[in-house]
Amino acid sequence: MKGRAFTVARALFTLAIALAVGFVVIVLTEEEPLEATSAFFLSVFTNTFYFGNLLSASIPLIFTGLAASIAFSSSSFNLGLEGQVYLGALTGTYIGVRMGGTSPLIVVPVVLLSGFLSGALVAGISGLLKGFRGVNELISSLLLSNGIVLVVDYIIEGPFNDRPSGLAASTSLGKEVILPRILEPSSLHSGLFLALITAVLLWAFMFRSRPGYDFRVTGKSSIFAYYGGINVKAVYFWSMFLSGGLAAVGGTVDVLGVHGRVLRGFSGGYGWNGIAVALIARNHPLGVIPAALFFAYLESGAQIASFEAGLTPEISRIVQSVVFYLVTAEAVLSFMKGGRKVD
Amino acid sequence: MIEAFVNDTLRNATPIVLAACGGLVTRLSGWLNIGLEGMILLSAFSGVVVSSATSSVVAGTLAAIATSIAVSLLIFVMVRYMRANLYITGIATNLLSGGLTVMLADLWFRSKGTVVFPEAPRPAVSSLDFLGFLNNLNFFDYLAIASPLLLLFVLRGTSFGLKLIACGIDEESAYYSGVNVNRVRLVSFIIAGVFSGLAGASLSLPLGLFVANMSGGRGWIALVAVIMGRDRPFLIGFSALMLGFVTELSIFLQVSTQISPKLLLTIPYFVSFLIVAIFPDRRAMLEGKKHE
Repeated sequence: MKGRAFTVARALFTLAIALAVGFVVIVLTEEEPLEATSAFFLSVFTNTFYFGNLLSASIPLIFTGLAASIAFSSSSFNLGLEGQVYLGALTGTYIGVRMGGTSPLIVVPVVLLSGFLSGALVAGISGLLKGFRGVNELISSLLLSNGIVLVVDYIIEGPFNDRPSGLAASTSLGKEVILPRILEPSSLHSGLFLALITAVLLWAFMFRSRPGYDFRVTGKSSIFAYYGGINVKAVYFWSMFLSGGLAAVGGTVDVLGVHGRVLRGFSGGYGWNGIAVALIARNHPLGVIPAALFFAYLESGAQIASFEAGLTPEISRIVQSVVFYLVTAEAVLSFMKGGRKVD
Repeated sequence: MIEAFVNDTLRNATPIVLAACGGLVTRLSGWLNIGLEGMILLSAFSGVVVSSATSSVVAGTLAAIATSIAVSLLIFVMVRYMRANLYITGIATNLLSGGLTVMLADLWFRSKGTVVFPEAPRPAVSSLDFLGFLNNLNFFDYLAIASPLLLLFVLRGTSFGLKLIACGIDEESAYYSGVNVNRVRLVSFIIAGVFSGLAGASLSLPLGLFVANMSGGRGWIALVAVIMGRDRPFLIGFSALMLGFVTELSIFLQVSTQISPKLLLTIPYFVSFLIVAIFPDRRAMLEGKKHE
């Protein structure tokens, strides 16, 4: 049982175990487990508001999932996604606010591009350091990202704060640049199409272009790639560059579509979830879409259950970490064949 | 004033030194455990909960160590027997610890932020009036000072130390020389568990409280110390001390200047980043050399 069917079966099995663990945790911790369980797993489908919000929550995850998948498939560990998303959101918002009054047809692309570049450059540093200095990109990207999150917090609470609102949030973008909504009153917006198009483009890049081939070969074996004449250092740089840029666009699109400004901590978890999404999808750009929907389902379910049934929303973090533990485990399905239970 | 500053630096460096010692052992074995951050957080939680429940610092410390070892073994089992990716399981541990501690704190103590344990006993502190900068240190601080020495002895003076280093350099050669690579790595993960458990206990026990995300990046900073220290215990101890100094500096400046605390909190991260950029990972350089 190899190939695509195996991959899908294993992904589904991993998700089933994770959900089962989530169910057990709810039963153990909640006073009214049935109510909490149904709120967690089913409420999302009861009305278009919840369902639209679920789709909306999947948009940034598609971007961060693509970001993680392009890095992973070129053997780069980009752990700085959290900071890159947040930085992209801030840069995009700042440029958008400064350009206020210009036609949205110009503002929106410029905002997206500036967001992309901010994340791309930050991640690119880690890629360069890896290629030329042998610096572990896992640690360098994470440290930079942790620092950046604090700097962005500082900027939106200080110099770029929206003082009249009294919130820990930046100044708002003009109404005219906000992406059109679908399925109102939910927060679903047309950024969804941008996310889907990006996924298809990235698939074409990875599987139908020469640089994409170089990326994938380097990901399989950097030594083989080197002897095959591929510029491995360039791959390290460009894969991190694209990865950081895509993550940052995820943050920018979320601002353009949902909030209209940067709220403190609004992107918390987009980065880590994106990594999980890429792993479930086995780094396949098109597989990222269903995987992102699954994670958006988890997050939405936990949120709905927290205000409908008082569930602790951290349960979604636990389910998520179970996914992380199991998703790369190659022995998962062989346990299933043997009829053994895995917790 | 300077004495107090040195004193605070030592105390700030304690969890970093301890965790770095654990990190070094796993790194030498060839399987770097990046779950240190989560192990510290979980053991900080279990340590203070148990010490409060039993009114015993020793029981609390042992609980912290046991928690940390259990988590370390979970990573080991996932990687060794389920053939999961080492780094991803490390990340899983860090995510799990963040969610689990907040959930348990909410469930048991009805607080998601800070949980204070008024009945928790505090570890005794030394009073050496003639050496002010060594004053007010507790058991964990002295252990942190002794750990690099202990580690140096294990690495240089015992056969286990040699086997450990052999596994990291080339696991196949080590295997054919009769080293049980699997067992050496298992032991190294247990040792990492002991050290991170102590690091976690050293955070929560002296304060008698638990704060969400109390580990605050110390597990990662400890990994920076490991890279910076180039696999030498003393150099790692020194690096961790410097990083403890940087952390203390950011706290000190928050109290004494008007600069935004948020910006000052970035200092440890950006300094660590510069350090890893300036002191490249020797092991990764060797790997790189193979195809240059």
